[in-house]
Amino acid sequence: MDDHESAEALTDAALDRDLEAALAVDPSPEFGVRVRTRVQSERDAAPSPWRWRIMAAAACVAIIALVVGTSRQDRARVAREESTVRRPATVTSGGQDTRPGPVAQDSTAGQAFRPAPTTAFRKSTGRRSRPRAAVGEPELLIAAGEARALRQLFSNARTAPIDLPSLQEAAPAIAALQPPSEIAFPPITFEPIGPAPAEEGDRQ
Amino acid sequence: MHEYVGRLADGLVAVDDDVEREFETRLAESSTLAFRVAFGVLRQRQDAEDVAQEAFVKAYRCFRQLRDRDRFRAWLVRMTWRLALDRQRSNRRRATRELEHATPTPAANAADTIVAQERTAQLWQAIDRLSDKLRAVTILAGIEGHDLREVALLLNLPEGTVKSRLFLARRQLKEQLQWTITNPPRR
Repeated sequence: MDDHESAEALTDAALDRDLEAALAVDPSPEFGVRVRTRVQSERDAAPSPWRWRIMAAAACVAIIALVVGTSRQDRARVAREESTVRRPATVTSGGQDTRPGPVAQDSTAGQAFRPAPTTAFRKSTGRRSRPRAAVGEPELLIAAGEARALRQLFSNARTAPIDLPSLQEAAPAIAALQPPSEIAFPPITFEPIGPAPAEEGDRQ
Repeated sequence: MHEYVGRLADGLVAVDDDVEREFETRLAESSTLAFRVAFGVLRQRQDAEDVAQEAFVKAYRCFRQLRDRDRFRAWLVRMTWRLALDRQRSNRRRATRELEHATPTPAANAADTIVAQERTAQLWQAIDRLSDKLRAVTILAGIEGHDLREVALLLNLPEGTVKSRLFLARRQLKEQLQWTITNPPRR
């Protein structure tokens, strides 16, 4: 207490010295270890934010890749199915139809050699809708030569009237055909329907 | 793609490790400072260690968000100071509750009669009577011989403010200690 004996003795230097002495306290040797252990447990409890970010980014990339891959597969399958539906409608070039199926010979419409207006070629609104015509309606197949001939016939019929005499000359076999004689229809008779004699009167 | 992601992950983990190492370094540098700041408020070794530890855990949680790592000490000091004040308040409330139910004990033991301890006790009493602002500059100036500039950096205050606060604090301390000397407490 020598410094404090009088008011003059209590200087700033003495006060600072006392303060430094009072605050010159060191933590216990275990303090550092305790703090490190606690920080380590904190570190283990909370994984690194970078790792979280990496995992989140990887998950996003995987999801995007999955979605893109799936949509591509869908598109490829739809395209494949459309091409398989279109292909039978086209005419084979060799004049021979290699595919089995009915041959359209309807001359009343020019649609015979065209593909049937099926729903297969409509753009489907749903992503996974399948072309229905492939299963529902028959395919129209026609030989290349016949198609060509029909096409020519229709175009000629549209542009110029058909000259029958010249046709008869060109095809004498057709002209030589005799018109059919009068068709005789036998008269229609109605037989009364009655029970068979053997079956009636057998009751007892 | 996978290779790129792997390299990126390695790089980020390396950054993570750097941050961990830097924190370890800061912890080694500043552990005594944090303890002394807490001790300056609480004057209980165990409490001060607990508070300093808590401050380090908080600092670790937020270390990555600290933009200017050079200001770590100032940041840690302010955090420790606030935590120590909180602890002091709760200690006081608890002490008050305990005093209400406690049986009277002898005022002092033999050790308290030692002159140095008495002087230190008087000094702490005087420090306790200071306002928080004056107490902070007084304690920080007393720790490890910090000068005005260092105290200003730690408290994020202008040097002039620290100087005036320190002046006021010293004057009040001297007055209180003088009063204690001339009117010693009765035992």
